[in-house]
Amino acid sequence: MFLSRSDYDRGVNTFSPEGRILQVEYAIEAIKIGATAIGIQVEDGVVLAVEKRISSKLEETKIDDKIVEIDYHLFCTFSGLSADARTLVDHGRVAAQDHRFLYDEPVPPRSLTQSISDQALLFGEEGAKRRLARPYGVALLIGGYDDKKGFVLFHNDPSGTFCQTCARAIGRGGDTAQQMLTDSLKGRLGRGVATDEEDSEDDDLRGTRFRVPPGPVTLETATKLTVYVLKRVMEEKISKDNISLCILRKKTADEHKDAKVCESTGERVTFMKSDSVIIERFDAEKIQAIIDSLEHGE
Amino acid sequence: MYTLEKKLLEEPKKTSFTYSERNAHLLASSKDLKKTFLKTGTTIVGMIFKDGVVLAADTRSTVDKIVADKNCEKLHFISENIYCAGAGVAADTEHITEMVSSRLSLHSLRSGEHPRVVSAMTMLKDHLFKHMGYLTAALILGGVDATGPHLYSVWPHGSVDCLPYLTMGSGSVAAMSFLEARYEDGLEEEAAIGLIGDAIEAGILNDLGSGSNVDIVVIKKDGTRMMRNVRKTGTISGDDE
Amino acid sequence: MGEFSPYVDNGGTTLAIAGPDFVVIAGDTRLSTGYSILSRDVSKLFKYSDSIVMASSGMQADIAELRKQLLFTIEEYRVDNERDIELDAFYRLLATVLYGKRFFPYYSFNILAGISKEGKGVVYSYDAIGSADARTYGAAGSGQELVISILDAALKRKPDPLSIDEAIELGKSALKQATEREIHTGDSGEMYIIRAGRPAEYITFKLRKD
Repeated sequence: MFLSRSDYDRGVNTFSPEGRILQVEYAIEAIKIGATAIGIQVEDGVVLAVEKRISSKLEETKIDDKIVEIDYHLFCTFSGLSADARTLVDHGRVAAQDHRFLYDEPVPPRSLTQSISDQALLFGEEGAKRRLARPYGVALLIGGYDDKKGFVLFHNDPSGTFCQTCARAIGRGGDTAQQMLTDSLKGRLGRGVATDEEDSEDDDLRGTRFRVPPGPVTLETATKLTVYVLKRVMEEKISKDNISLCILRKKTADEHKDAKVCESTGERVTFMKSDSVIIERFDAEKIQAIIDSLEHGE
Repeated sequence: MYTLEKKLLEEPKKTSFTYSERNAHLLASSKDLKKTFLKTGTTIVGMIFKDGVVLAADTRSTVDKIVADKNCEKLHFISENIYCAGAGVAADTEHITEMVSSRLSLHSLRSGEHPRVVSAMTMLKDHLFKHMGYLTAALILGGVDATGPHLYSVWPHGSVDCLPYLTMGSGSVAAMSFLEARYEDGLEEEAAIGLIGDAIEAGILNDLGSGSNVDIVVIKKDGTRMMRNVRKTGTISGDDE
Repeated sequence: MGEFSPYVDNGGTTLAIAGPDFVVIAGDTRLSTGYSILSRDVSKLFKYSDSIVMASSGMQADIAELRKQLLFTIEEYRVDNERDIELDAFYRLLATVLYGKRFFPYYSFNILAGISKEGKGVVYSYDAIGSADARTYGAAGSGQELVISILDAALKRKPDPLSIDEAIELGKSALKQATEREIHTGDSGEMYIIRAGRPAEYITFKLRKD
């Protein structure tokens, strides 16, 4: 037993008498001061959006490394320490490539998330195999496509816990944003349909509700919703330069044709080209268009 | 004088667990097995032309003197802008190119750019050199990257040539006769495809280790075109294999 | 003391024939070395799932080890990915496992038969170190050359699509004919008949015992 309670703060290998690993909890706090990131999964795709914090007017904003590819069918954004995220993403890329090499098929997103979460747990104070002396200070939103399960979205955090979700917000504005997502998508996505409890007028009064058109939630609506939410929760004024936006969706017939430059008479398709989905990165113009459309709508 | 080579050449008398001796012993005692590896007797050709690089291969694979596959693929995908033609033991060429392809994917995921042909070449030669010629893979690597078109041949021991036109495999001499006669700098695409097709045909018809059809891949700055079985030289008219 | 030799050839012949929505895979059950029969009833077929069957000839000990290795890996796949492995992935797995022993190979010659994602019958044939490709029919083992010529003659220029009964008969008869001319093949034959969306059906038939 340590003499003072605050001594339990220090080690990552000692539970406090309340049964907590405090360093892990502090790592989770690190995410709550990170950039706000949002992910939404709908029937026809996944959208990830994240705030880019620009510390200086001199900073180059064109570099878009806050949403990254893990494989052709997997992409990811994060809140927290971006260097830690890169280590985890690198690990994920190798795991994805390993699976392709051994089985000649895209890795199921759930297995990939599991593998990244395993890596997130590999911290500690000693031992050569330990990669990091402290927990990773980052939470990830991983979007992907699964042949069997369709589009999926996963969230994982420094405790190595992960869960599948259809809409999730993390980071500084995460709590507010999550509430807005829940309000806007209540009864429309995920488990359960609209219930009596739903008090839409109240939501409207709070001004936190984005009007989702009737019918299935489309990827386009989800994309707008992420920008709408970001706009509300960001401290700075939203602009084409301070957010990143990416979607994962099915390839159109034309894209299939373009990707397959094969004039092969045989039926062979190389593994990269057999993927039926594509990650589309929104450039500044496209982002501006969404911001504009939201302003006109209001 | 006692040398390792000399020792390896002598038939080992008993099993040793020194790796070099063990390998030599296993090699000597598994001649029958070695005969059953799929080999691609092969004619492969690579050539730089005006707008990029063109690679071509025949489609016969053999086990000893038996044809094992009449329409195999010897043009291996490395990345969208790089292909590799392979001769030698089929498993080796397939596995090595797949491995390099995998590693280059990671490369371009990190850099956000198309991989470079030199990177692929370096990975291939390092791997082959490390295995001291025990991996039987003779490769022609070609592609177009940010620094332009590139063409290399990589030999089983890990040496590399960089030339504007190259042939490899058992049909290389037959194919080279066409290139030496007709190759020139800045060939148009049509002419390049025509010439490379003729070179492979020379291998198919004159080298017993090569046969069946002609596969061609054209790699240009603006895209890659894979053309399978463009000529069915070896078969009686109209057959696929 | 004789010199240690790591390999023994236990002979035997296997074959597989694919059709539009089915595939048959067969082998004999003789286990031999040189001029002696070790057993008349050792299976060369191994069923990994309802739609994946592998036929192996070569050295029995290496084949047993290879099967064990594959069973282990597909169980790991099932647990990690929460789904059963499919033919397309299994095909690549076998190639990778075989190449993993590039410099001390499993003395085994494998044919893989199953139903693809699209519901088509597929045959993959391998060499000992994992070079593989998809075909519509294939043969391996001591009677490979005899059987492949028979299949070539029967299937190469066939105008109408192959029916399942034709495939079964052709498979049986090719093995019977190999038994007539190849001493390491014989005793009895066995066959899996795999139809899309149905569990594999198993049949046996007699072969010469001399």
